[in-house]
Amino acid sequence: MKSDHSIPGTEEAPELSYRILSDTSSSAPVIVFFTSAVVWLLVGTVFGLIASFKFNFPDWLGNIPALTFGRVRPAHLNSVIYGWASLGIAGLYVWLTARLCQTEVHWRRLLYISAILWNAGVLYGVVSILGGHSQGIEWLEFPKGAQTLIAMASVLLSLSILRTFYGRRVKHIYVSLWYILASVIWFPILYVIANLPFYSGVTQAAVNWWYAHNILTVWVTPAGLAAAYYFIPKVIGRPIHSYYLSLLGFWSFALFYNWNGIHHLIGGPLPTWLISVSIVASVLMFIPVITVAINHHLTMVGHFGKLRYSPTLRFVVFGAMCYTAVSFQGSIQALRSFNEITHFTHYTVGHAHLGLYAFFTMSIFGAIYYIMPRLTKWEWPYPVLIKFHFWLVALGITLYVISMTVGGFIQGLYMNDPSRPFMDSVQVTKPYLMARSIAGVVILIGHLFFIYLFYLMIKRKGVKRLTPPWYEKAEEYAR
Amino acid sequence: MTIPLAGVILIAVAIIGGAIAMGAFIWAIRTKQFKDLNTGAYVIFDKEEPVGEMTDTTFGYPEKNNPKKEENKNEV
Amino acid sequence: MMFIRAYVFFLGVLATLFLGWAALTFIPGIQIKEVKPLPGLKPYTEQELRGRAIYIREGCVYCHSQQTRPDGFGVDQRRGWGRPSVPGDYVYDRPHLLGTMRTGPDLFNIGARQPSEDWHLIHLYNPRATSPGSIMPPYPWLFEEAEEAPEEFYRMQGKRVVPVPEQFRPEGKVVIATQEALDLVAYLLSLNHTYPVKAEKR
Ligand code: HEC
Ligand code: HEM
Repeated sequence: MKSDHSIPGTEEAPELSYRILSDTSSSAPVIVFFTSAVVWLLVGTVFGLIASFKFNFPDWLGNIPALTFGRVRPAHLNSVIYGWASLGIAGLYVWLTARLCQTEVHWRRLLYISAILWNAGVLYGVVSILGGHSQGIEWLEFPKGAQTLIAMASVLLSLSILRTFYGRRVKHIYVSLWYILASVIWFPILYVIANLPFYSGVTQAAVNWWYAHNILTVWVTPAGLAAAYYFIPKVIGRPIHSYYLSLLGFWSFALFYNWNGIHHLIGGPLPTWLISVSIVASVLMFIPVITVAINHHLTMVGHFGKLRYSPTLRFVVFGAMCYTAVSFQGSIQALRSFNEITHFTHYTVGHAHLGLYAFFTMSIFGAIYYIMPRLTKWEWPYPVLIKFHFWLVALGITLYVISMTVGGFIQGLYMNDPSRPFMDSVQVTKPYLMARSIAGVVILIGHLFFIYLFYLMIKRKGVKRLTPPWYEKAEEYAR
Repeated sequence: MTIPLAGVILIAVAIIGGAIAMGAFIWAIRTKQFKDLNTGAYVIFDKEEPVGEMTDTTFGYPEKNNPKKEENKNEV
Repeated sequence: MMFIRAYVFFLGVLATLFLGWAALTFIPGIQIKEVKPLPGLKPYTEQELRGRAIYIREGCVYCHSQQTRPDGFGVDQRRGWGRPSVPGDYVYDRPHLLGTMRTGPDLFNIGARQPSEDWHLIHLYNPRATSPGSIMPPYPWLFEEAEEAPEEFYRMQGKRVVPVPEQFRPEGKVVIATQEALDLVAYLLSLNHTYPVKAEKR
């Protein structure tokens, strides 16, 4: 497709000019989003680690109210979800939308306001939780004020992205863009509906888990998939294997996934048919998952050697493989006979981290490694540190997921054996909880490498990116 | 208990929703929205970053098959 | 053409989301709305509600569920955790505290299972004092420490001395429950859903 917006001085490569245009215009807001995301990643990881060590040494920091397990844990969850994940998603969406629409980012001022509100909301919320002002609803612990800030921020983000989409200069809507558009429409609606003040009792539990699962469906997962659908083909230089399958995947995903939530309450005091619907939808999820898995695999076939050269590819392919794994695990976990054992145990925590870390967080790492050099016009210094980062977090999360999965399963077996006292199910998990803490330390070290690299990148230390000679001129024009 | 009534509403909603989705899908096929499906996969490539070329080689790339080698000498 | 295509897309997206919401929350909401509080269920008292707020503040829900499952699904029944819970048990719960983790035992009927106020106070001050090997956090800020003196002395001032075993409290001190601790325990003791319920109300 010819772009009709050549920039003077770029006649040699008119197609490239749109990329300069979009990367340059998305640069500042995306850097703001990513930088704050990285800060929340550090904060969230530290809270996660504290929470984890509390299981091993329950009396450690035992007399500081703000650091009791029941406050640190929601502080961890909310800082990684609404801080790290959401701001990372915002950065990814802004950058990718501009690129796929082959245009500049519109309404950039809204994005800056959004970033400020978003950070203020998460900060206010996390401090409130630590101070003991939680709403007490899992995934929605933030006080109303913080939720209002985040809701406004997400609306502003969506407006800017939709405006950029409206100004697109390309006919075809690439598959990643479908996910992004669906996501930016869904998320603010979902967030507002879930925060409406008129639920109580069992209905509230249903809304709670409908929300907690749907935030994965409409916010976290589309971001991971949008990244995979863009970066895998783009990095290896080969179009997605079956574009048709990706379309099928999108619609079946949209149709089944948001029915899943109530599987968090299997066996609970809700109408049985409701839970059954959720189980059926959870199992139907095999369809979109398999289409995505096959598609990504066939795209990569014959190109696995390229993992050697590209950090982005490593992280994103790792993430895509874990998407398949976590989805299969999820579908199985929703079956009654299996759920009977794993429900209420650390197994679920293993599943949560397989999804949010091994799939999502790894994909976002990959995206950041690709995007940042194109925004700062700077190469990553010390590629060897990227390798450290990759191996530390990859090994760490593997140990994390294995220890929680095995430990949680045994915990469930013990819990379901009435001849054993309940305490046995606590005792038996202790070595696994210790292994999890060790995994957490390894992951934290990996994050420190990443944060150091990110810092150098922001400071523009290291090597300038190699660019064609007419680049500067075009860049000037795009400003 | 009102389970049957709720079930009826659920099924009705599901059928209507499903019909809308199916309608949209059939319409899209009829109007050939999916005609350019296979070229669609190519929109992320162009002359500067063509098919067959890696766009991220931060960990280095073997010299012999680096298509960008010549051009990279033009660095700013 | 472009416009119509995008329009249909948005419509589809909205429809699927709305469908999920309607099916999973709205319709059951109507259905559950008709659920009346069970005859045996008492509304919370002022004190119990204060205790409930502390339960929320300290995040007990991340380790304790408040829902019991029927026979044939888990062994809650055989552990004596009480009959399966039904929607009518929760009508006064706002926010709900069903929970999804059982790092510790289910508390739906803790008031019936463990009616001793002293036990709860000691346990909250330091779980290891009542349950060796427990990994539950201690909540010392719900208590005050005071100079060792006959219990009589504090009772005269209207203070509640908690009989924490010697090795679990600071030397030469006694542990006194604050109002918050008493409220929390009052809430725990109110978690007693042993009243009868007609079968298959779930
Ligand atoms: C880190 C997880 C954790 C947190 C947080 C936690 N508990 Fe526990 N709780 C446990 C474990 C494990 C046990 C079982 C061992 C024991 O009795 O201490 C337990 C046991 C109990 C018991 C005794 C149950 C029985 O059947 O004997 C009560 C009551 C209790 N907890 C109340 C609370 C309250 C109230 C809070 C919040 C202030 C709380 N717990 C927070 C883990 C936790
Ligand atoms: C060093 C790294 C990390 C450690 C040590 C860690 C530790 C923990 C711990 C201890 C819990 C509480 C589990 C429980 O209640 O039993 C938890 C929950 C959770 N964490 Fe992490 N975490 C880490 C990183 C992350 C990251 C990066 C994310 C997401 C992007 C994440 C997402 C979650 C979620 C969603 C939950 C809630 C699980 C549930 O409700 O079942 N964690 N984590």
